[in-house]
Amino acid sequence: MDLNQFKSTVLPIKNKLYRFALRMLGDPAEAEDVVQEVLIKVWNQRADLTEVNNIEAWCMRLTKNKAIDKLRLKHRNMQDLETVYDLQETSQSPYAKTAYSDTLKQIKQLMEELPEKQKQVMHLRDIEGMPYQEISDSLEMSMSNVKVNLFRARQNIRAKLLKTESYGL
Amino acid sequence: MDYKQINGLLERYFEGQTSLEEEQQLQQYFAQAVIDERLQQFAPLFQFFEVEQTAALDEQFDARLLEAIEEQAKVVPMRSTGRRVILRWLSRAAAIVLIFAAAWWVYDTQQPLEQTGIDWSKYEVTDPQLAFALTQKALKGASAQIKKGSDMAQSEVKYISTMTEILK
Repeated sequence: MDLNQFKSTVLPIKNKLYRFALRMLGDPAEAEDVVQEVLIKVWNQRADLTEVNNIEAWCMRLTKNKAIDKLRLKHRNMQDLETVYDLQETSQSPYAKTAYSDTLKQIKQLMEELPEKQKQVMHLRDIEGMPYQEISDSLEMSMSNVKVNLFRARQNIRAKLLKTESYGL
Repeated sequence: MDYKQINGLLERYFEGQTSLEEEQQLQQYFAQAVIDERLQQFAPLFQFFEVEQTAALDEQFDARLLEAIEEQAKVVPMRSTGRRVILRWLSRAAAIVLIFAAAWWVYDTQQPLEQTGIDWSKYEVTDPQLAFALTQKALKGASAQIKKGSDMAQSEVKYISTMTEILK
């Protein structure tokens, strides 16, 4: 694979990877770092790329793993600095600042609160519109697990939506 | 689409039974300006999904990425060829040193092993007076050394005795 092929086959999925990393990390700068690291890795391993039958799912897996590493690091640092920093507010990208109404922020919050796997599956299905098989490949999760996690995520969100509704929010 | 249809789709959505096309229909419905009041509470969810699809990296990302890739391409081979050049010169130098060492060894071992001893008879003193003077000088030197030793011993003994005195 030369640079032009890289540009035409791998680069176009960058935003998909970015959104996924952003969903997991909640921080645009960190998400961008992850995507850059992933794409550099893909470029360096371009020799093996012919053996990879689904580049997109492969990139997703790399993104997920890198994001998990970052999360672990963050979690460790957070425990160290628990009292020093208030890490509740993560910075938001320009699109988020302009497009977010309070109700959307609330949904974002609900999704953030989901368990990690449910969050990942819901993101890939409801935001990226991916078929179950692709989600299964991307997350290295069995098809039935994908469906169970999606079901739970949606049930979770519905319960919370109805709850806030009944409080008159 | 009417309320009934959408509500049915919603039910199936929350059960995880909808297809991608049906989920698309839901998103399209909630993107409309007018939404049935009874479905209003679910509107933000699907609107959120739609907004989230637009999140993207900024335009300079590609340039930064390609720069990072180039940077890396420059650094990696440079280092390895640099090391290779040094290794090549080192091996040449080592070969030359080895040749010289071998040549020297061959040359050295082939030298005849003749002992060029000193002919002491040339320095033998024949004048008795000079011999006496030399002997006297040598004895003086020796006695001076001996005296120095006994002086040193004496002072040491003194030092130890004062020390034991103090430590008592």
